[in-house]
Amino acid sequence: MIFRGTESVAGTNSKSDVLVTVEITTKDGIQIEIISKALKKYGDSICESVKEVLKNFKIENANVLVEDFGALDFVIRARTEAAIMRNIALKEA
Amino acid sequence: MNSLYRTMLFVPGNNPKKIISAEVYGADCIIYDLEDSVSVFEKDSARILVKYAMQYNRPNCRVGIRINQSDTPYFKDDVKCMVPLCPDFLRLPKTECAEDIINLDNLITELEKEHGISEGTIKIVASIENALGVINSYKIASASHRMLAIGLGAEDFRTEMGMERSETAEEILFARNLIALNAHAAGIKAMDYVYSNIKNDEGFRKDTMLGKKLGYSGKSVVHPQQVAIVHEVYTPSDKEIENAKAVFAAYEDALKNGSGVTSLNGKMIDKPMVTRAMSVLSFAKAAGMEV
Amino acid sequence: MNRNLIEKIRKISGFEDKEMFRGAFEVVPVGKRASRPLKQFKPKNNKVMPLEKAIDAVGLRDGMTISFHHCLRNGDLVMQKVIKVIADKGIKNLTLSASSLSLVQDALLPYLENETITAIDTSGARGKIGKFIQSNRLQKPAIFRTHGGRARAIETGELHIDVAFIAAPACDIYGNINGVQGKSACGSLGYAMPDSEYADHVIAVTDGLSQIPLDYVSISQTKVDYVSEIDDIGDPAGISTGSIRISKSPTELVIAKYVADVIKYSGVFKDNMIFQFGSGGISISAADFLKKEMEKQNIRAAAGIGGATGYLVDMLEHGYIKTFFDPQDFDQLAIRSLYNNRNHHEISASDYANPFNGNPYVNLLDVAVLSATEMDVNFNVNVLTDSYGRLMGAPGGHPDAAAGADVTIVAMPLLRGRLPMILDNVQTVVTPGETVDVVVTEYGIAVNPKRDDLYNNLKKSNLPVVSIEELYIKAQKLAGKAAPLEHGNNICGIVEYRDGTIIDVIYDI
Repeated sequence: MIFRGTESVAGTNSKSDVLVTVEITTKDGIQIEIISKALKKYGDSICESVKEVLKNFKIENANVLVEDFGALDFVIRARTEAAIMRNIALKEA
Repeated sequence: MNSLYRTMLFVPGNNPKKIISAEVYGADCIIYDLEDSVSVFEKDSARILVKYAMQYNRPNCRVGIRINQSDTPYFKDDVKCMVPLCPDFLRLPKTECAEDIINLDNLITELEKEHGISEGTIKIVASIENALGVINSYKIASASHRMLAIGLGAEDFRTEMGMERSETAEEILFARNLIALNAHAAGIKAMDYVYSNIKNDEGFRKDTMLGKKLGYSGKSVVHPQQVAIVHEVYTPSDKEIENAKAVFAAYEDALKNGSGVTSLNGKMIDKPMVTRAMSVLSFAKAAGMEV
Repeated sequence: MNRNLIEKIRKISGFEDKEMFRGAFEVVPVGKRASRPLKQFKPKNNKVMPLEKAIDAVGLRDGMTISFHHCLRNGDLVMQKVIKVIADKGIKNLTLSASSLSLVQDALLPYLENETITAIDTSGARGKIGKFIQSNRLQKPAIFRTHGGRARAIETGELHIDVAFIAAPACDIYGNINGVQGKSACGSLGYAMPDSEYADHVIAVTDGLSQIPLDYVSISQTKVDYVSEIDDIGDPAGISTGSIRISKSPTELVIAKYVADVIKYSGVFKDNMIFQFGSGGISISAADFLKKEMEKQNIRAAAGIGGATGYLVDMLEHGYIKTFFDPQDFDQLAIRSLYNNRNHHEISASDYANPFNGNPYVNLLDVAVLSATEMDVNFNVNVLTDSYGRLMGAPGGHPDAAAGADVTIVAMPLLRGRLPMILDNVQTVVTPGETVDVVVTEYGIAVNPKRDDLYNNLKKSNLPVVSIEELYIKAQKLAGKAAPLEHGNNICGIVEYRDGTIIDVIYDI
């Protein structure tokens, strides 16, 4: 995924964690790329969770990169929210 | 869920792996830490991770949150984010005086109202980590109806006092005594401090036994393996249990017969003996013994 | 497994007589054991010759079955070196029968591709060989057998071996072999013994040739036709692990403590009990917790059975275990113990686990502590494929020990990463649930409903005994819903239960 240099990251690359990079944009809708060993089983679930968290923030345009290291669903949601909040703070600054 | 506070297991708030596994070690209480184990760059993400852990995966035991101290920029956000999750308590580090508690109490009250939580639900555990705090420990312990327990933060206390850590911990004995005394004077629990050398199981056991003797109801732990050791130390012996059962039975007999005086084997049984017997039996029950 | 599948399998040449699994002890054997040609060897003859010549001497040709043991585990160099010599001779279409295939056997891939080998039977497969099998490129499905099942197949004649190549860490010029000496020592040669007794021809391949008779003999000269010397039969680093230590993972320690407590309260924790502990960190730690309880209650085990590790032989050394029956050794301490300790006995795969002999040692087990990659809500266990259906393990002795033991305990984490390990269906059934009694996870312990007695015993303790459905729901709750997996429709492997019936199949990917 290509970012424009205004993205924010949350999470770590430790086992059971996930790195989520979020860049809120103004057009082109939501683009999500997922890198995960469990892609076949949980790719759809990861995608749904990320979309749900974006929706909670009423974000309609964003680039999101998810690098998964075996994270449970609640961790994926938490890291996505943290990355979104960091990106919002970055854009307001 | 038992009603004891033998173990409070600290779990780093920004570590998913440790958060997930924390509930399997059988601690009476889990404390998600937002303070020392979380770097200043991750305070926000730890808060959010703990929030989601509480919402999606709340462990089947008591849960507390160690927030950042009052004079940090994280304090208010921590409290605001955590109160709606309805933890059993917030643990405030580096408490120096009653005002620290009152300040936190007011903030919690406000937030409880806002989120429809009945007032007084969320308790406070105060960690006392310097000389002034130790001196003020009775005032701290009695500063709010939310107070559940106080304890000594031994490492910071030693640092301020210029003390070297010794294996027997005699340098902090007075403070440890005083805090236990003041906790009981205020009618709350004394929670013993973290023993930081996680490789020394025997030293840890001795230290836990000393805490129990001094009147502490349990110990804060940082390593899962320490949980079982504390529980062992706080498990009453067969002899203690037998005696407690006998005291309790004699007391119940007396109640039934309406006799004012209770005695066992010619010895008078008074109220403290009964209270103590009940406490022994609840510790035995928590340890899985048939009582 | 459904009926249509067995019809499909019976259409494959060589599999016409296969039966479906119908219960752990339902098959009754009939007939006599297989035999081998008579031999003669005159005084002053010489068995030692180069590998190329030995292969010619036994008359190896296209379409035959060659066999190897896996006692050198991931350090084995014999399979690749021998098969290279065979391939250089232009021999094709061989069946490779190995007691198992470790990752090191990725080196055999070229010989599968050039059709030197076109059929495989083994206990396990992984890596490139696993991938090759699951790309459906063998001429017929691979056969996966248990350790006891392979011994059974050899002894009944179902698996006929033309030439057995036996990697021999120590071998004398007369053909006596042991696994406890030499630079490539691997310990017990239990898994090579059936081959040495039933193959038409036996060639010992050694890097530890002795000019005088060995002082310790595992496989005797009477069974060996030729002895060939090569530079290295193995890489010591891959043959035995360093000493397997007590687990440092707090979660594994929780599981291990539960395992020890389950044994303590199971009703079989008595003086002179007999047990098997696996070689993983959880098993070793469970043995350590149990040892403390044995000490406390003054209980000693009459025997230990199964793979030996340093920790178990230390218990043997110190009298916690009185005698040990050993088909396989995992580390140097165990290897040394087998050589030196008179209470430590080497047994064959057949002695250990063959369901169709007088009484395999697994039948003596009061307790077996085993692992699993997956389990379903009916206690069926998978130890062969991963969560995606890829070959990565081996039945090994799992189904054998489970069938033999009074109390079979499967210990594993409820989740690995995000993947739940207790499911409604496992990828591959290897050990039937009817032979598994207890599953222990960090989130709780479930007892097979057919063991009311055990359930009642454990309920008297403070242990977190729950139903397996509760564990399943907990795992699902933590992991979230997974998308269903797709696999091919071609059967590229069959999984035999120890009695030779088919318990499941492996599909292509």
